[in-house]
Amino acid sequence: MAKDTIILGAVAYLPKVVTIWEGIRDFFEAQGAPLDFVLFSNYERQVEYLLESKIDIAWNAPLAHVRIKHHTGGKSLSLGMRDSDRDFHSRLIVRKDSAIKNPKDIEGKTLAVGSRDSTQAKILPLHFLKAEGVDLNKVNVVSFDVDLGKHGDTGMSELDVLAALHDGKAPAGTIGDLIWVTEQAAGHIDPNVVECVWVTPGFDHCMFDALPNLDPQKVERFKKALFAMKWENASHRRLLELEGLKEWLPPREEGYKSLKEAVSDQKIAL
Amino acid sequence: MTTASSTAITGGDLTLGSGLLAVLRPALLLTEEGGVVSLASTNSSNRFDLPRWCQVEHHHYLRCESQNEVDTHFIQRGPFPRLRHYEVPSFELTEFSLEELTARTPFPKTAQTTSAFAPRGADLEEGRPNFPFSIHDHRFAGPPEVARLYDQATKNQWSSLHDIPWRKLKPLPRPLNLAVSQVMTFLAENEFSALYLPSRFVSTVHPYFMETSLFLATQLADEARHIDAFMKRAWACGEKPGVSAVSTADSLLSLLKSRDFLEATFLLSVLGEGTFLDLLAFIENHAPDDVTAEIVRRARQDESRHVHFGIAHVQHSLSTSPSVRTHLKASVERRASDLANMSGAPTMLQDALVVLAAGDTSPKNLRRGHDKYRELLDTMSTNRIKRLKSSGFSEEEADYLSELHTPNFM
Ligand SMILES: [Fe+2]
Ligand SMILES: [Fe+2]
Repeated sequence: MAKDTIILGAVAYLPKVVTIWEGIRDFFEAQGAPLDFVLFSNYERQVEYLLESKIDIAWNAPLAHVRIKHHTGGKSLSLGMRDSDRDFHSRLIVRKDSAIKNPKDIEGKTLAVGSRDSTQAKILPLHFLKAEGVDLNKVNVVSFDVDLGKHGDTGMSELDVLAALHDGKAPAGTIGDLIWVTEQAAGHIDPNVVECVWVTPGFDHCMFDALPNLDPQKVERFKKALFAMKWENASHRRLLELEGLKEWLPPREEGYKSLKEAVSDQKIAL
Repeated sequence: MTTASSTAITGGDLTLGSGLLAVLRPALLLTEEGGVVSLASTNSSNRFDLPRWCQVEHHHYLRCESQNEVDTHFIQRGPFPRLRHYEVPSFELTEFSLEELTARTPFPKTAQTTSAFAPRGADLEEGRPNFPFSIHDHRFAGPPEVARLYDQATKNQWSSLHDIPWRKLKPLPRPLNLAVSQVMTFLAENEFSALYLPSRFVSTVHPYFMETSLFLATQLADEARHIDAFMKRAWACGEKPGVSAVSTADSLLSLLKSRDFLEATFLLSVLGEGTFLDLLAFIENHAPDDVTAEIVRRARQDESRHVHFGIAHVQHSLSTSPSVRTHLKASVERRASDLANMSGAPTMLQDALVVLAAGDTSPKNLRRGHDKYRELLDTMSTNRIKRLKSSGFSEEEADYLSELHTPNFM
């Protein structure tokens, strides 16, 4: 293997991940930026491998990004993100018959939340609810800890939250807005039973992370190839659609501020 | 049908999950890329849901204007590729025949492999897989008049169960009984090739030429019905089916070796089924009973449609692609060399036809029957040459090709 090949890590949260990265690998190759990928079953191992320089770049969900930032004293390189990673929101959804009209109303009630490592379905919604003045000690938080290690990427725990509300097992729950709109559009949500009563502030999602000492030429080649991927080009578009974006964007750090605060407040190990 | 500017729609208090998309998505679909759809909504949850949905669907959410509890959302249609391989103006049907539809949406010169099973005229989403249709050039996909033949076929479908006067059938003298059974056996055996051969090519015709696939479907149904009726007639009067000759099997095997749709149509429909038209007319003329006469009369009606299609298809291909002439001639020569040892129609068929034409087994009538059989061979040859000429071959070519045609008729 040529030493200028960029080794990229990604978490295999669904089978389509293989299709996506094989496509991106071929695209990078054609762009003169040889790339190979390593798939991990969880973000913890991927973070460890990046910190030990066993891979060059990691495609990280937000919690993993925050960990990399923490362990590099904020010096890690952020290389790019999807347009769809910006301004993510979480939703407080409730049963219509629950009489919950705003966040405060969940005190004394059961709140269904997603996996404990899901940024959008548990960590940030709880953080923002607390900031909204909700006393979480008075809330019976029920967590659907599925697909741990994948940090909520599969969306399975969010579907569990939705099912719990539909089945009347919980009067309220929190999920990310991607699942909220796609499940509505697919006709999987009964609008007579479930509604959204509150939207969290925005936050950012995935990021390409690298250590500060990564070969600058690799960094340059990676960025050049990544941003050459264009929606207007039909063969690129297939990859972009699979990966759920229209355009790769430069990184921005402020979108992770709330998550950093939440992690520290909730004493999540970094 | 499409507007580049802006479209206004009303969504009432609907949300994404309660039916709003059924009005929003079609409005966006009819808007050209970059055009704007404005949506009036009284449900404030759309303020959050619509921007996110637009992002997922790659539309551009512009802004929301609120006034008197009504939100107006402005959405710019995303850069959605809609391929138009096939463009015709809209129209209203008045006849509802396939011929009319085809006249309004004529065959394209070529069809794109990615349009797959999408009906002609549909806008196609991009990023489609390729389909393995080998016939996507109009020159080899069938003649434009195939739509009219399809209309005829659907009008003239019949049923062996309901349209044949089986109850009128009375036992015949044994020699005639045997002759009918033998003739029906021969017909059914050859009909099988007419069922199996075209069926191989239905799946090769690009669906943009749907008239041809639909017509072939009627042809297959016709052949199935013929086999059905001929076999019932073979068994009807207490005889078993007659003999199947090696020469018939050889002839049909060499027919099945046709390598493409055009060659198959030429060998089967122009030459084989064409020759069968004369055979069926002969059997009808000399049928010893009304049931036999009715079966072959109806079969002949269907066959003349198949032959018509065959001649038109070959004629269309020859006139648009002269190089196929050599290919078609070679296919007849190939069969002739496959069948070089065959000298005439199967003997048991010849005898049965002579007996049918004689009407009984008296020497006087048998002589007459034999004369009729020899006349049949002449008629077959004359008409085959005519059909070859109608297909676009010269007098000389037609004589030559007719002479090489299989003595098995099919
Ligand atoms: Fe037939
Ligand atoms: Fe036929």
